[in-house]
Amino acid sequence: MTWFRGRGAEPTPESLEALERELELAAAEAPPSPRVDQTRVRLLASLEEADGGGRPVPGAVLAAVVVLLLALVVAVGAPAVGSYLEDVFDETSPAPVVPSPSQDSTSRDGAEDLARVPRVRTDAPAPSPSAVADAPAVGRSSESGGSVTGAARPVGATPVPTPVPPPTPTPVPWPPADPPVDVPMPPVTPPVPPSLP
Amino acid sequence: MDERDELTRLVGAAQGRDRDAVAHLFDRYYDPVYRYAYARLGNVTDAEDAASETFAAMVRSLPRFRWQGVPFEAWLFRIAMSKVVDLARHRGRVRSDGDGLLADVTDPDGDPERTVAFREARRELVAAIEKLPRDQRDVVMLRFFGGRSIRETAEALERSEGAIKQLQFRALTSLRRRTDR
Repeated sequence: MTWFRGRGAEPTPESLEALERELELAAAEAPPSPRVDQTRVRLLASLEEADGGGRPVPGAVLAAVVVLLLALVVAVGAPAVGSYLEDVFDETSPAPVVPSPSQDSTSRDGAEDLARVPRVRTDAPAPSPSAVADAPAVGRSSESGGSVTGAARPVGATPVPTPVPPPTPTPVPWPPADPPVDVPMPPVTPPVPPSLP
Repeated sequence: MDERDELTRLVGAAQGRDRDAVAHLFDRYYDPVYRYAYARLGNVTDAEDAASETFAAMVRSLPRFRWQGVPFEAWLFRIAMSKVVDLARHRGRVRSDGDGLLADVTDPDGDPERTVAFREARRELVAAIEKLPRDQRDVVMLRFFGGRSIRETAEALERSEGAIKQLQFRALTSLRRRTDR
Protein backbone atom coordinates (compact mmCIF):
# COMPACT_ATOMS: atom_id res chain seq x y z
CA MET A 1 0.00 0.00 0.00
CA THR A 2 2.24 2.77 -1.23
CA TRP A 3 -0.26 4.78 -3.20
CA PHE A 4 -1.07 7.13 -0.35
CA ARG A 5 2.44 7.42 0.98
CA GLY A 6 4.94 10.03 0.11
CA ARG A 7 2.38 12.76 0.20
CA GLY A 8 3.29 16.15 -0.97
CA ALA A 9 5.42 14.88 -3.81
CA GLU A 10 4.60 15.13 -7.49
CA PRO A 11 2.93 11.93 -8.82
CA THR A 12 5.47 9.53 -10.18
CA PRO A 13 4.90 6.60 -12.51
CA GLU A 14 5.40 4.31 -9.58
CA SER A 15 2.86 6.07 -7.43
CA LEU A 16 0.38 6.09 -10.30
CA GLU A 17 0.87 2.36 -10.77
CA ALA A 18 0.29 1.86 -7.09
CA LEU A 19 -2.87 3.88 -7.34
CA GLU A 20 -4.00 1.73 -10.26
CA ARG A 21 -3.48 -1.38 -8.20
CA GLU A 22 -5.39 0.16 -5.33
CA LEU A 23 -8.33 0.91 -7.58
CA GLU A 24 -8.32 -2.63 -8.90
CA LEU A 25 -8.20 -3.91 -5.37
CA ALA A 26 -11.06 -1.68 -4.30
CA ALA A 27 -13.20 -2.98 -7.15
CA ALA A 28 -12.33 -6.57 -6.30
CA GLU A 29 -13.27 -6.00 -2.70
CA ALA A 30 -16.80 -4.97 -3.48
CA PRO A 31 -19.09 -7.25 -1.47
CA PRO A 32 -20.84 -9.99 -3.40
CA SER A 33 -24.36 -9.39 -4.54
CA PRO A 34 -26.71 -11.33 -2.26
CA ARG A 35 -29.63 -11.18 -4.67
CA VAL A 36 -27.85 -12.20 -7.84
CA ASP A 37 -29.66 -15.54 -8.09
CA GLN A 38 -32.98 -13.93 -7.38
CA THR A 39 -32.33 -11.29 -10.02
CA ARG A 40 -31.36 -13.96 -12.52
CA VAL A 41 -34.52 -15.98 -11.91
CA ARG A 42 -36.68 -12.88 -12.17
CA LEU A 43 -35.01 -11.81 -15.40
CA LEU A 44 -35.54 -15.18 -17.05
CA ALA A 45 -39.10 -15.36 -15.78
CA SER A 46 -39.84 -11.99 -17.30
CA LEU A 47 -38.41 -13.25 -20.56
CA GLU A 48 -40.77 -16.22 -20.54
CA GLU A 49 -43.73 -14.05 -19.60
CA ALA A 50 -42.99 -11.78 -22.51
CA ASP A 51 -42.90 -14.76 -24.84
CA GLY A 52 -45.82 -16.65 -23.41
CA GLY A 53 -49.04 -15.91 -21.62
CA GLY A 54 -47.90 -12.56 -20.45
CA ARG A 55 -48.27 -11.13 -23.91
CA PRO A 56 -51.92 -10.40 -24.69
CA VAL A 57 -53.35 -11.50 -28.01
CA PRO A 58 -54.08 -8.35 -30.00
CA GLY A 59 -57.30 -9.76 -31.47
CA ALA A 60 -58.66 -10.71 -28.08
CA VAL A 61 -57.81 -7.31 -26.70
CA LEU A 62 -59.49 -5.62 -29.63
CA ALA A 63 -62.61 -7.76 -29.21
CA ALA A 64 -62.74 -7.00 -25.51
CA VAL A 65 -62.48 -3.29 -26.18
CA VAL A 66 -65.23 -3.43 -28.77
CA VAL A 67 -67.55 -5.35 -26.44
CA LEU A 68 -66.80 -2.90 -23.65
CA LEU A 69 -67.55 0.08 -25.86
CA LEU A 70 -70.78 -1.48 -27.07
CA ALA A 71 -71.86 -2.16 -23.51
CA LEU A 72 -71.01 1.42 -22.61
CA VAL A 73 -73.00 2.77 -25.53
CA VAL A 74 -76.00 0.61 -24.64
CA ALA A 75 -75.82 1.57 -20.99
CA VAL A 76 -75.45 5.27 -21.57
CA GLY A 77 -77.26 5.86 -24.82
CA ALA A 78 -80.18 3.47 -24.56
CA PRO A 79 -82.26 5.46 -22.09
CA ALA A 80 -82.11 8.58 -24.19
CA VAL A 81 -82.77 6.79 -27.46
CA GLY A 82 -85.47 4.69 -25.88
CA SER A 83 -87.15 7.70 -24.42
CA TYR A 84 -87.12 9.45 -27.73
CA LEU A 85 -88.62 6.45 -29.45
CA GLU A 86 -91.11 6.19 -26.67
CA ASP A 87 -92.20 9.73 -27.34
CA VAL A 88 -92.58 9.03 -31.02
CA PHE A 89 -94.70 5.97 -30.41
CA ASP A 90 -96.66 7.69 -27.70
CA GLU A 91 -98.15 9.83 -30.42
CA THR A 92 -99.97 6.78 -31.72
CA SER A 93 -100.55 5.04 -28.38
CA PRO A 94 -103.89 5.47 -26.69
CA ALA A 95 -102.41 6.49 -23.38
CA PRO A 96 -98.97 7.90 -22.69
CA VAL A 97 -96.80 6.06 -20.24
CA VAL A 98 -95.72 8.21 -17.37
CA PRO A 99 -92.92 6.73 -15.31
CA SER A 100 -93.85 6.58 -11.70
CA PRO A 101 -91.39 7.60 -8.99
CA SER A 102 -91.43 4.06 -7.62
CA GLN A 103 -89.80 2.61 -10.70
CA ASP A 104 -86.28 1.28 -10.68
CA SER A 105 -83.14 3.24 -11.34
CA THR A 106 -83.06 2.35 -15.00
CA SER A 107 -86.48 3.78 -15.47
CA ARG A 108 -85.59 6.84 -13.50
CA ASP A 109 -82.52 7.36 -15.62
CA GLY A 110 -84.68 7.04 -18.63
CA ALA A 111 -87.07 9.54 -17.20
CA GLU A 112 -84.28 11.97 -16.57
CA ASP A 113 -83.04 11.57 -20.07
CA LEU A 114 -86.56 11.97 -21.24
CA ALA A 115 -86.64 15.33 -19.59
CA ARG A 116 -83.56 16.36 -21.52
CA VAL A 117 -84.86 15.18 -24.85
CA PRO A 118 -87.15 17.72 -26.44
CA ARG A 119 -90.52 16.15 -26.06
CA VAL A 120 -93.46 16.41 -28.37
CA ARG A 121 -96.27 17.81 -26.38
CA THR A 122 -99.00 15.27 -25.93
CA ASP A 123 -101.61 17.96 -25.88
CA ALA A 124 -100.27 19.43 -29.05
CA PRO A 125 -102.03 18.89 -32.30
CA ALA A 126 -101.19 15.97 -34.54
CA PRO A 127 -97.65 15.83 -35.80
CA SER A 128 -96.78 17.59 -38.92
CA PRO A 129 -96.23 15.56 -42.05
CA SER A 130 -92.50 15.96 -41.72
CA ALA A 131 -92.52 14.50 -38.21
CA VAL A 132 -94.68 11.65 -39.39
CA ALA A 133 -92.31 10.96 -42.22
CA ASP A 134 -89.46 10.71 -39.76
CA ALA A 135 -91.19 8.27 -37.49
CA PRO A 136 -90.92 5.09 -39.56
CA ALA A 137 -87.20 5.52 -40.01
CA VAL A 138 -86.69 5.61 -36.25
CA GLY A 139 -89.09 2.76 -35.83
CA ARG A 140 -87.07 0.60 -38.17
CA SER A 141 -83.95 1.15 -36.10
CA SER A 142 -85.80 0.18 -32.95
CA GLU A 143 -87.00 -2.98 -34.59
CA SER A 144 -83.51 -4.04 -35.48
CA GLY A 145 -82.31 -3.41 -31.97
CA GLY A 146 -85.03 -4.64 -29.73
CA SER A 147 -82.90 -4.59 -26.65
CA VAL A 148 -82.30 -0.90 -27.03
CA THR A 149 -85.92 0.08 -26.77
CA GLY A 150 -86.58 -2.66 -24.27
CA ALA A 151 -83.93 -1.35 -21.93
CA ALA A 152 -85.43 2.08 -21.87
CA ARG A 153 -89.04 1.21 -21.54
CA PRO A 154 -90.28 1.46 -17.96
CA VAL A 155 -91.41 -1.64 -16.19
CA GLY A 156 -95.04 -2.35 -16.80
CA ALA A 157 -95.27 -0.13 -19.80
CA THR A 158 -97.51 -1.00 -22.68
CA PRO A 159 -95.50 -3.01 -25.20
CA VAL A 160 -94.93 -1.30 -28.47
CA PRO A 161 -96.84 -3.02 -31.23
CA THR A 162 -94.60 -4.04 -34.07
CA PRO A 163 -94.80 -3.29 -36.84
CA VAL A 164 -96.44 0.01 -36.17
CA PRO A 165 -98.46 1.30 -39.03
CA PRO A 166 -97.66 4.88 -39.65
CA PRO A 167 -100.52 7.11 -38.61
CA THR A 168 -102.54 8.47 -41.40
CA PRO A 169 -101.41 11.98 -41.94
CA THR A 170 -104.22 14.34 -41.52
CA PRO A 171 -103.94 17.77 -42.97
CA VAL A 172 -103.21 20.05 -40.17
CA PRO A 173 -102.86 23.74 -40.63
CA TRP A 174 -99.39 24.87 -39.73
CA PRO A 175 -98.82 26.68 -37.57
CA PRO A 176 -101.75 25.22 -35.67
CA ALA A 177 -104.48 27.48 -34.64
CA ASP A 178 -104.58 28.48 -31.06
CA PRO A 179 -106.87 26.21 -29.11
CA PRO A 180 -110.06 27.82 -27.99
CA VAL A 181 -109.64 29.39 -24.68
CA ASP A 182 -112.36 28.23 -22.40
CA VAL A 183 -111.70 30.17 -19.30
CA PRO A 184 -114.70 31.24 -17.29
CA MET A 185 -114.74 34.92 -16.94
CA PRO A 186 -115.32 36.32 -13.49
CA PRO A 187 -118.79 37.66 -13.00
CA VAL A 188 -119.06 41.27 -13.63
CA THR A 189 -120.25 42.96 -10.52
CA PRO A 190 -121.66 46.38 -10.76
CA PRO A 191 -119.72 49.04 -8.97
CA VAL A 192 -120.95 49.54 -5.49
CA PRO A 193 -121.85 53.07 -4.84
CA PRO A 194 -120.12 54.51 -1.89
CA SER A 195 -122.31 54.32 1.11
CA LEU A 196 -123.49 57.60 2.35
CA PRO A 197 -123.03 58.44 5.95
CA MET B 1 -14.76 -20.36 -32.19
CA ASP B 2 -13.05 -17.42 -30.55
CA GLU B 3 -14.52 -15.30 -27.80
CA ARG B 4 -15.83 -12.64 -30.14
CA ASP B 5 -17.61 -15.16 -32.35
CA GLU B 6 -19.05 -16.82 -29.30
CA LEU B 7 -20.34 -13.50 -28.04
CA THR B 8 -21.84 -12.75 -31.45
CA ARG B 9 -23.62 -16.09 -31.40
CA LEU B 10 -24.89 -15.53 -27.86
CA VAL B 11 -26.21 -12.08 -28.59
CA GLY B 12 -27.90 -13.30 -31.75
CA ALA B 13 -29.58 -16.11 -29.87
CA ALA B 14 -30.61 -13.75 -27.09
CA GLN B 15 -32.15 -11.47 -29.66
CA GLY B 16 -34.27 -14.46 -30.65
CA ARG B 17 -35.46 -14.71 -27.02
CA ASP B 18 -33.28 -17.75 -26.37
CA ARG B 19 -33.48 -18.28 -22.61
CA ASP B 20 -30.10 -19.98 -22.29
CA ALA B 21 -28.38 -17.23 -24.25
CA VAL B 22 -29.87 -14.53 -22.05
CA ALA B 23 -28.83 -16.51 -18.97
CA HIS B 24 -25.34 -16.79 -20.39
CA LEU B 25 -25.08 -13.05 -20.98
CA PHE B 26 -26.36 -12.39 -17.48
CA ASP B 27 -23.80 -14.74 -15.93
CA ARG B 28 -21.05 -13.18 -17.96
CA TYR B 29 -21.77 -9.51 -17.34
CA TYR B 30 -23.68 -9.24 -14.09
CA ASP B 31 -20.61 -9.00 -11.93
CA PRO B 32 -18.86 -6.18 -13.84
CA VAL B 33 -22.10 -4.25 -14.05
CA TYR B 34 -22.80 -4.77 -10.36
CA ARG B 35 -19.30 -3.74 -9.33
CA TYR B 36 -19.49 -0.65 -11.47
CA ALA B 37 -22.86 0.23 -9.96
CA TYR B 38 -21.58 -0.45 -6.49
CA ALA B 39 -18.61 1.83 -6.99
CA ARG B 40 -20.87 4.62 -8.14
CA LEU B 41 -23.78 4.16 -5.74
CA GLY B 42 -21.94 2.93 -2.69
CA ASN B 43 -24.31 0.37 -1.25
CA VAL B 44 -25.29 -3.16 -2.15
CA THR B 45 -29.03 -2.62 -2.44
CA ASP B 46 -28.77 0.29 -4.84
CA ALA B 47 -26.09 -1.47 -6.85
CA GLU B 48 -28.27 -4.58 -7.18
CA ASP B 49 -31.23 -2.50 -8.20
CA ALA B 50 -29.17 -0.74 -10.86
CA ALA B 51 -27.77 -4.03 -12.15
CA SER B 52 -31.21 -5.61 -12.20
CA GLU B 53 -32.66 -2.68 -14.13
CA THR B 54 -29.72 -2.79 -16.51
CA PHE B 55 -30.39 -6.39 -17.48
CA ALA B 56 -34.12 -5.89 -17.67
CA ALA B 57 -33.48 -3.03 -20.09
CA MET B 58 -31.03 -5.23 -21.97
CA VAL B 59 -33.69 -7.87 -22.54
CA ARG B 60 -36.20 -5.26 -23.68
CA SER B 61 -33.75 -3.54 -26.01
CA LEU B 62 -31.95 -6.55 -27.44
CA PRO B 63 -34.21 -6.84 -30.49
CA ARG B 64 -33.08 -3.35 -31.51
CA PHE B 65 -29.36 -3.97 -30.92
CA ARG B 66 -27.26 -3.91 -34.08
CA TRP B 67 -23.57 -4.65 -34.48
CA GLN B 68 -22.69 -1.32 -35.98
CA GLY B 69 -19.30 -0.39 -34.63
CA VAL B 70 -20.37 -0.60 -31.01
CA PRO B 71 -19.64 -3.88 -29.29
CA PHE B 72 -22.17 -5.51 -27.08
CA GLU B 73 -20.23 -4.79 -23.90
CA ALA B 74 -20.03 -1.11 -24.68
CA TRP B 75 -23.73 -1.07 -25.43
CA LEU B 76 -24.48 -2.85 -22.15
CA PHE B 77 -22.28 -0.49 -20.15
CA ARG B 78 -24.02 2.47 -21.69
CA ILE B 79 -27.27 1.06 -20.34
CA ALA B 80 -25.61 0.50 -16.97
CA MET B 81 -24.31 4.06 -16.87
CA SER B 82 -27.73 5.38 -17.71
CA LYS B 83 -29.42 3.27 -15.04
CA VAL B 84 -26.90 4.26 -12.41
CA VAL B 85 -27.34 7.94 -13.18
CA ASP B 86 -31.13 7.58 -13.20
CA LEU B 87 -31.11 5.75 -9.90
CA ALA B 88 -28.79 8.24 -8.27
CA ARG B 89 -30.89 11.12 -9.50
CA HIS B 90 -34.12 9.44 -8.47
CA ARG B 91 -32.89 8.82 -4.97
CA GLY B 92 -31.43 12.27 -4.74
CA ARG B 93 -27.96 11.26 -3.93
CA VAL B 94 -24.79 9.78 -5.20
CA ARG B 95 -22.60 8.24 -2.57
CA SER B 96 -20.18 10.84 -1.30
CA ASP B 97 -18.34 8.76 1.21
CA GLY B 98 -16.72 5.39 1.03
CA ASP B 99 -18.62 3.58 3.73
CA GLY B 100 -19.82 0.79 1.51
CA LEU B 101 -16.46 0.24 -0.02
CA LEU B 102 -14.71 0.43 3.31
CA ALA B 103 -16.59 -2.39 4.93
CA ASP B 104 -13.94 -5.02 4.26
CA VAL B 105 -10.85 -2.87 4.30
CA THR B 106 -8.48 -4.19 6.90
CA ASP B 107 -4.78 -4.28 7.28
CA PRO B 108 -3.34 -7.59 6.09
CA ASP B 109 -1.37 -7.89 9.31
CA GLY B 110 -4.41 -7.12 11.39
CA ASP B 111 -2.84 -4.02 12.87
CA PRO B 112 -5.74 -1.86 14.08
CA GLU B 113 -3.89 1.38 13.54
CA ARG B 114 -2.94 0.48 10.00
CA THR B 115 -6.49 -0.67 9.32
CA VAL B 116 -7.75 2.73 10.34
CA ALA B 117 -5.19 4.34 8.06
CA PHE B 118 -6.24 2.13 5.14
CA ARG B 119 -9.88 2.97 5.64
CA GLU B 120 -9.18 6.65 5.85
CA ALA B 121 -7.01 6.53 2.73
CA ARG B 122 -9.60 4.65 0.72
CA ARG B 123 -12.32 6.97 1.93
CA GLU B 124 -10.32 9.82 0.48
CA LEU B 125 -9.73 7.92 -2.75
CA VAL B 126 -13.39 7.09 -3.35
CA ALA B 127 -14.49 10.59 -2.48
CA ALA B 128 -11.90 11.89 -4.91
CA ILE B 129 -13.27 9.71 -7.71
CA GLU B 130 -16.64 11.34 -7.32
CA LYS B 131 -15.04 14.73 -7.75
CA LEU B 132 -13.29 13.90 -11.00
CA PRO B 133 -14.56 15.39 -14.26
CA ARG B 134 -17.21 13.19 -15.77
CA ASP B 135 -15.17 11.74 -18.62
CA GLN B 136 -12.27 10.89 -16.30
CA ARG B 137 -14.63 9.39 -13.73
CA ASP B 138 -16.28 7.22 -16.39
CA VAL B 139 -12.90 5.95 -17.51
CA VAL B 140 -11.94 5.04 -13.94
CA MET B 141 -15.23 3.31 -13.35
CA LEU B 142 -15.18 1.29 -16.54
CA ARG B 143 -11.50 0.44 -16.39
CA PHE B 144 -11.19 -0.55 -12.77
CA PHE B 145 -14.63 -1.32 -11.41
CA GLY B 146 -16.10 -2.57 -14.65
CA GLY B 147 -12.93 -4.52 -15.38
CA ARG B 148 -12.80 -3.24 -18.97
CA SER B 149 -9.59 -3.00 -20.95
CA ILE B 150 -8.36 0.19 -22.57
CA ARG B 151 -9.86 -0.93 -25.87
CA GLU B 152 -13.23 -1.87 -24.39
CA THR B 153 -13.39 1.37 -22.50
CA ALA B 154 -12.58 3.30 -25.66
CA GLU B 155 -15.38 1.49 -27.49
CA ALA B 156 -17.82 2.04 -24.66
CA LEU B 157 -17.17 5.75 -24.55
CA GLU B 158 -16.67 6.16 -28.30
CA ARG B 159 -13.19 7.59 -27.84
CA SER B 160 -9.85 6.51 -29.20
CA GLU B 161 -7.60 4.30 -27.14
CA GLY B 162 -5.08 7.13 -26.96
CA ALA B 163 -7.74 9.42 -25.57
CA ILE B 164 -8.67 6.84 -22.96
CA LYS B 165 -5.04 6.45 -21.91
CA GLN B 166 -4.75 10.21 -21.62
CA LEU B 167 -7.95 10.47 -19.60
CA GLN B 168 -6.83 7.66 -17.34
CA PHE B 169 -3.45 9.31 -16.76
CA ARG B 170 -5.12 12.61 -15.91
CA ALA B 171 -7.60 10.87 -13.63
CA LEU B 172 -4.90 9.01 -11.72
CA THR B 173 -2.74 12.12 -11.44
CA SER B 174 -5.68 14.06 -10.14
CA LEU B 175 -6.54 11.33 -7.65
CA ARG B 176 -2.97 11.15 -6.51
CA ARG B 177 -2.82 14.86 -5.91
CA ARG B 178 -6.21 14.94 -4.20
CA THR B 179 -5.24 12.20 -1.80
CA ASP B 180 -1.91 13.83 -1.01
CA ARG B 181 -1.85 16.36 1.76
